[in-house]
Amino acid sequence: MSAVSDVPEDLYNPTALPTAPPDASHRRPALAYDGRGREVFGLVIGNAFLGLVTLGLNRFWARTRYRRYLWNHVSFAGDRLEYMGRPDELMVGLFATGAIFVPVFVALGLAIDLLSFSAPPFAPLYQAGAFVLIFILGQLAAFRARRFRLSRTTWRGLRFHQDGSAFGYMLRWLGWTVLAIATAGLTLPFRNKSLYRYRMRHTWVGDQQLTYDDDSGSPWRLMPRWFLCWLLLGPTLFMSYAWYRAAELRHIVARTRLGTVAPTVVISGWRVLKIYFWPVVLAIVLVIGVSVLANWLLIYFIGADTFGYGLADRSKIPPWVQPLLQAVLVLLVLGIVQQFLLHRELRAIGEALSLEGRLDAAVIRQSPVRPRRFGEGLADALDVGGL
Amino acid sequence: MTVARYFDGQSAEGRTLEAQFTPERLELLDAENRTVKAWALRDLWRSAGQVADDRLVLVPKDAPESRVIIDNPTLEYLIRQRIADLRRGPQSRNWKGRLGLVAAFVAVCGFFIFYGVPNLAALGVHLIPKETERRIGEVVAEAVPYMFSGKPARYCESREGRAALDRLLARLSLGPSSGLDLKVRVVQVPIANAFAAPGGHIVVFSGLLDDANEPDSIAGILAHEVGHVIKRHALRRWLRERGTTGFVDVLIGGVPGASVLTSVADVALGSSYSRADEAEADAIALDLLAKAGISTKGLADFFDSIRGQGDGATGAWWLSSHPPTEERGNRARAVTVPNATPALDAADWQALKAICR
Repeated sequence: MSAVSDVPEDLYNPTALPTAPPDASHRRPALAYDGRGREVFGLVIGNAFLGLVTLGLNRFWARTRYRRYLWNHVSFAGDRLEYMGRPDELMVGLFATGAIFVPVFVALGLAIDLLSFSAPPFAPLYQAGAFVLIFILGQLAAFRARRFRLSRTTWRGLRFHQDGSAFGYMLRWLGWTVLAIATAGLTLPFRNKSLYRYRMRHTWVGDQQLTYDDDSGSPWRLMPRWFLCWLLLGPTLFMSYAWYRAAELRHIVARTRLGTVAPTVVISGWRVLKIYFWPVVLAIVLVIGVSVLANWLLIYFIGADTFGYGLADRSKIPPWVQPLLQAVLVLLVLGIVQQFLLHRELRAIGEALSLEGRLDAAVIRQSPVRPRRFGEGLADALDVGGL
Repeated sequence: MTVARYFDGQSAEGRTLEAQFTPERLELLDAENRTVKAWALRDLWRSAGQVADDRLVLVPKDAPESRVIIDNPTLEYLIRQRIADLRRGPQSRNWKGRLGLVAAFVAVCGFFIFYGVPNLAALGVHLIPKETERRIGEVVAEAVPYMFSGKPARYCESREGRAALDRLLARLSLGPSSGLDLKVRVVQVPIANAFAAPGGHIVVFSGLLDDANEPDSIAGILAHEVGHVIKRHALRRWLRERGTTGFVDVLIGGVPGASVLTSVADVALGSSYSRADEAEADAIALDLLAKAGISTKGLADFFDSIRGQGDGATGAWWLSSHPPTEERGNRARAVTVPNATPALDAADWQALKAICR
């Protein structure tokens, strides 16, 4: 402990220190998010560039760092959540998944090839089929990933936990989604509520299960607004969805309960729109920016500026270079914006939520469920969630 | 007085206690100055999940669910000094462990991609029954001309042309008695190309016949494709490519841009194997030509004529799927066949060239 000797002796005297505020008993608990955009952006950009350099090998660490930041800036009743997952758990989880899913993916690829070859005109159909299949499987993966994340989430040292069946969730998702598609989206409020309720009811804080208050109104209440917004989706370029989404958040989030603690949600359509507006603008600007950058890099490294107009001469460039460079940069940008979006969503939710009711902390005890050792591999493989 | 909140890892209800730091220890005292908890500082971690710097969260090593939370941010400097040695835990910044893990990850991926997949593919070829391979080949042989011309394949079957083709195969000892069960067809596509699909299907595009100046070139190209058939290259390559993409999709799928990396890896890996395959097929072709008493000059001339079409355009040798044509031409020329006669007589050659008419 060499550093200790550098500290002046009187600093050891506790009486010389300012007095800490007395522990607020947090009778009326608050939920808050105080992450800063600049910090999140720096973190995400740093991770992205490290990812480029390490060909993505850093992603287990990158994710862990990102989650630690987001989690720890969410506080409930004055205490911050902690993400206690470790990068090696993610890596081993992916390996465990790979053992099962590499053969599945290979078989799927072979099957698509065979089908496509036997009827070439339908090849895009088979490809799309495989994509849909993987997307559905992604819901199962996302639910399992949520289980892993919650099991690594602690508050005051108490673990969170998720029960329920990932397969059951996937089936519900499938059923509701098919119904929503079949009704041209009109049943969306019921779908969203049902899936949200399933996730919440299977979430535990320590040994306390979250509940969903079903008695105080069904999504039928949302239907008039949804119908109006639904009609306006086209004319408003889907922006009317924000007004519906705000109402939906006020409806479903307010019906979530932890014991007697219940949230009230104050959020407007404008606020919901604002969450997404700037990231989308940013994404467009950045995508154009990186395209220009890609062009410039090509000129610089391949010397393809034949005509002197500052445009890369495509004929001098191997045909695969431009799309590759472009795609890497664009996907990188979209990944960054997606992660940044999560921060903005959290901030909006933090602003919108206030909690009512008394929190009896003594009632909440440690979760009796031992967390699983590894997880999330499938979600990683299928690239769902963005967390 | 430094206030600490202590959570015992069993309940969300904490106790507010006084924290007393000494250079070696942390003690938590209650209002009557009795010690409630005490740890040597080396038995405490700073919580790995705590990144906001407005409080210090300590985790006892022997009770990782407990928390000692010191809310006063002005303490941060002092505590950092005092417990600078306190590592974030339970995971510390263990560089050796990290490097080990990364090395293991890279090693497993590398082993699988460069050793596992090719060998599994070679093994998989033997697991696929000949009959299945034939049927796959049937499908591929129909599909590839479709991809090139956008129309269903039209096979050329003029009687004289067919007879000439059969005589050419017989000359190369590739007739029905060879046991290879070849199915050689000419398809009406105006592109100079030919390919071998799984199961002995060889498809020659009519454009190749139009461009060829002598029967020996066609004989050489047929012999080359037969080399692929004998080694079952098409099937092996298909299994290998699917294996690599499946593996990379799952293990690197989580990275933005990885699918693009995948395809580059695919092309690069695939073409290095494919260069080996082409060289192997060339060797077989030269052997077949020599045995049949056909000059290898026709094949060499063909290689010369396509020089600069396939490779060179990309400039990256490791991305080109065929060995440099110059080298292939020279290798073909190096084989001298004594007493060589043309692969087909003039009448048969004309008939073969006219097979699509």
